[in-house]
Amino acid sequence: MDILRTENMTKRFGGVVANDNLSIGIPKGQITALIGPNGSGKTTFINVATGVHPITSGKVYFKDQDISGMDINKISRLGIARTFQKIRLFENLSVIENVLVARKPFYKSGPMSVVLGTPKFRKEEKENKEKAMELLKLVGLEDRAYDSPTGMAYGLRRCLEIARALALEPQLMFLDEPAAGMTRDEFKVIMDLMMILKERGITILLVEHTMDFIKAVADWVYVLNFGQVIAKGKFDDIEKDPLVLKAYLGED
Amino acid sequence: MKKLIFVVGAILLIVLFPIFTNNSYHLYLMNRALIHAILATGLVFLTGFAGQISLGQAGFYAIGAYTSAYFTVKLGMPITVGVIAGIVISVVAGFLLSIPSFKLKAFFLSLVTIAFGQIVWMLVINLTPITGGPSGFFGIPFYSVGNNMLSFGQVFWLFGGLLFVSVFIMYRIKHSHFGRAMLAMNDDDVATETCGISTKRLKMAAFGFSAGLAGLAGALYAHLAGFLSPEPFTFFESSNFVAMAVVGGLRHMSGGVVGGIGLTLLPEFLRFGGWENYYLMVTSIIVILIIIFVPMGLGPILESLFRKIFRLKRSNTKTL
Amino acid sequence: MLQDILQNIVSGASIGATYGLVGLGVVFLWLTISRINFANISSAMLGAYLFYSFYTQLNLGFFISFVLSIGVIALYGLGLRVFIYEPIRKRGGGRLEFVVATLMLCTFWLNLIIVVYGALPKPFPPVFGGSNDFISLGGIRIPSLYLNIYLVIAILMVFIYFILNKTLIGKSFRAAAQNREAAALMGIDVKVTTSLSFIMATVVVGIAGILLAPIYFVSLELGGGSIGVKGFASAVLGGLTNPYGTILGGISLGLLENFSTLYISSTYRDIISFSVLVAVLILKPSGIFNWKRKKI
Ligand SMILES: Nc1ncnc2c1ncn2[C@@H]1O[C@H](COP(=O)(O)OP(=O)(O)OP(=O)(O)O)[C@@H](O)[C@H]1O
Ligand SMILES: [Mg+2]
Repeated sequence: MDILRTENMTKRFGGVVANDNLSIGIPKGQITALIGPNGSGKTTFINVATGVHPITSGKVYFKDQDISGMDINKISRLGIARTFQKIRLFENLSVIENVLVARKPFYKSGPMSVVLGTPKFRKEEKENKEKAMELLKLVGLEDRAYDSPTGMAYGLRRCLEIARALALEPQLMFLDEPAAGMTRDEFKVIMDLMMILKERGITILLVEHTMDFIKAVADWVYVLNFGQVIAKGKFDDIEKDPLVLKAYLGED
Repeated sequence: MKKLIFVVGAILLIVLFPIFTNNSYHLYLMNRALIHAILATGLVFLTGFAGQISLGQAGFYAIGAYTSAYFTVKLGMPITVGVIAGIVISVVAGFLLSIPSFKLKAFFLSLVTIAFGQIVWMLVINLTPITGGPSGFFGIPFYSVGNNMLSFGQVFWLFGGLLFVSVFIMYRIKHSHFGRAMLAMNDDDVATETCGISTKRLKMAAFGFSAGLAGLAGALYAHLAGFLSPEPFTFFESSNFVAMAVVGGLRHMSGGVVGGIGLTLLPEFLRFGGWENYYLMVTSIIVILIIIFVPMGLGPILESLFRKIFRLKRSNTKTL
Repeated sequence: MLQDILQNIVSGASIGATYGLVGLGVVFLWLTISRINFANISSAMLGAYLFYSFYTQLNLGFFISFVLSIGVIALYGLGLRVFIYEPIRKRGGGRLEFVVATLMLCTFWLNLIIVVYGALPKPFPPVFGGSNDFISLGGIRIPSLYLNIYLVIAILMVFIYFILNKTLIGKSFRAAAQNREAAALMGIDVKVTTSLSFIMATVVVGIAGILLAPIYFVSLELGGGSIGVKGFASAVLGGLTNPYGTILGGISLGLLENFSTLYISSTYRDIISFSVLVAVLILKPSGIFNWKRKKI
C-alpha cells in the first residue's frame, strides 16, 4: 500500500517546470529513494508534498486523503515530517528546545493553564522534555541538550534536525540529502539511524546522491530527470538502466 | 530564573518609589513611565519574541484610551469596565492587524502598521462626536475606590501591579510551548510550520497580546490624565514606543520595563537639567547612540549589574 | 468644469511627481542595501530650510542657493552612511536597529529645526513663480509654479536616466542589488556604491523638498509623516526597485488625492494614500508600476 501518492503533480517556477506530471507512490513502511541529477526536481517534490510550495496542478494524497493545497502545519500534523537540504535549525533556541518546538502539537494546555502554571501543564512539560531527551539520546546528542546548535559540527546539526522531525511522531519522513557533506563515521550513524526508523515502522523518502548509501538502504528507487520520472524499480535494475546512465553521464 | 530575579528586583525598586517622594509631578511622571513600560513590554513580546514589527502601536494606545473614556463618560460605566472594554477592542484590532503579517514581512509589514496608526489617528481627529476631535475629550474620571479618589502614590502601586502581571504573563508564556514556538517562528517561519505549528495563529496571538497591553496602557493613561487630545497618538509616539523596546532590549524580559521607564524619564531629566530647548534633540541622539553601541539594549546590561550586586549578598543562587 | 478638471490634473500630477521624488529616495537605498531610511523625508525638510537660509536670509541668489543646499544635503547623505549605517552594521545591528535609528533621526531633525528656526512656517520665496503667475495654454490657465516643477523634475529624470543607464554607477547599483558578494567579486567597490546611493537618495528628496516648499511653505510638515508616507507609497507602487515606476506611482497618487478632494472631501485626503499603500502591499506587494522585474 502506498502511504503517499501523487497524481500528475506539476510544479512550475515561472518558465521552469520543476516537477512535470509526476505520479509517484511511496510504499508504506519501506525506504524509497528519490535520485536524479542536480536540478532534476527532487527538493521541489518534497517541498510540494509537504505544502512548502503551492502545487501548480495535480494532486497529492496522504493515506488517501487529498492534502494538496493544505497548510504546511496541517500536513505536518497529519504525520509527515521532513528535513531540509540546507539545514534549518532554530538558532536562538537550545538543542532540546529545537526538539521541543515540534512537540507543540501534542500539548493540550492552553495559555491560561500556562500562565497559572497548573499541575497539568507542568506534567505535560515534563513528559515532553523526557520525550525530547529520548530522541536526543537516539541521535547521540543527549549531552549537548542545553547547548546552542549554532557552531555545532555539521553532522550533529543534521542529527538534531532529524530528531526534531521525529518529535512529530511522523508516519512518513522526507529526508533531503541527509548525508551530504558528512564524514565517513557520521555517514554510518545516519545509515544506522534510518534502519532503526524503518524498524519502528516509519516510512522514509530519501533524496541522496551517494549510490553506496542508496544501495545499502533503499528498497525502491525513483529516478528523476528534468522533473520527470525516467526510471523506477529496485536499485540493481536501475543501475543498469540506459536512460539513467545517460542522465547521469550527460550531467557529468 | 535569573531573569525573573532581575524583574522582581526592578519591580521592588518601583514599588518603593512613592515612599521616597511626594512631589506629585514626579509621581505623575512615574505613572506615565509605568504606562509606557506596559506598552513597551507588549512590543518586546511582539518584536523580540515573535519577530513581528509594529510602528502603529499608538493606534492601539488610542483605541484603549478613547474606548475607556467613551465607556465611562458617555455610557456611565465604571472604570474597570471601561478599561476592559479598551483592552478587548484593542485585541480585536490587533487580530485584524495581524492578517497582513501572514504575507508581509519586515519593511512591508512596518508600512502597513504605520498606515494603521495613521488611520486611527485621523479617525481620532475626525470622529468628533466620539473622540472630541482636536479640541479634546474632557471629564474622564480619575481612579477611585468607592467615593475616595486614589492618590498618585496609590495609582502608582496599581500601575506597578499591572506591569508586574503583564511581565509575569509574558514570562510564563515565553517559557512554555507557546513561547518556544514564537521564538522558533522568529528564526524561521517555514521550519516552524513543518513542526506542525500554525504561524498564522501565533502571529494573531502575538499581535493580540501586544495590542491588548497597548490598549490597557491607553486606558490607564486616559483615567490618569483626565482628558484626551490627539497629540499622544501620533506616528512619532509609535516610533518612540518601538525605541523604548529596542533601547531596553528586544530579547530581554525586562526590555519593556527598562526602556519604557528610561525613555520616559530621560527627556525629563534633560529638560530640568538645563536643556529646556534641546531635550528632545538630545534624547533622540542618545537613543541612536545606544542603538549603535549597545544593540542588545540596556536590559541585559542592567541585569548583569544587578546580579553582581545580588551575588555579593547570596553566593549560591545559580539555577539551571 | 473642464477647466477645473484640467487644472486638477496639472496640479495633482506635479505634486504627485514630487511625491515620486521622495519615493526615489527610498528606491535608491533599497536597490543597494535593502534598508529603509525612515528619516528619508527629513531630507526634504532640510532641503527647504537650507534653501530658505541661503536664498532669503543670505541673499545668495537662486542658483548658488540651490547648489549649496544640494551640496550640504549630499554631505548629509554621506554622513548617514558613515555615522549611522556602517556603525550599526559593524556591531551586528540588523534592519530593525536601522529602522529605529532613522526614526529617531527624524525626530532629531524636527527638533533641531524647531530650535534653529522656530516652529512657525516660513514663506517660501517665489522662485518658481508667484501664486498669481499663470501661463495660458489653449484657454487653460496653468500656474507657472506647476510648470516649473515639471521642468525641474523632467531635467532630474533625464539626469537620473543618464546616471543609471550610461554610467558605471547604474551597473554597480544593479549588481549590488542582485548580489553583494558577487558585486564585490566583480570589482565593484561596494562602499562607493553604498555611499553613492545614500547621496543620491538624500539629494533627490532634498530637491523634492525645495519643490514642495511653495505649496507646503518652509515648514515642519515637510519633515512629517504624511508626505513621508506618500513617498513610501510611491516607492511601493514602483515595487521599490523601479525608479520610473516610482515617479508614475507618485503621479497617480497625486491625481487620486486631488480628485478625491474635488469630489469627495478633503478631510479624508490623507487616508486615500494610506489605503492605496495598504491595498498595494496586501494585494500586489511586488508593485503596480514595476515592469522589467528582475528575479534575484
Ligand atoms: N524557489 C524556487 N524558485 C524558482 N525556481 C526554483 C525554486 N526552487 C527550485 N527551482 C528550480 O526548479 C528546478 C528543480 O530544483 P530542485 O531544487 O528541486 O532540484 P534538486 O533535484 O533538488 O537538485 P539538487 O540535487 O541540486 O538539490 C531547478 O531548475 C531550480 O532552479
Ligand atoms: Mg535538492
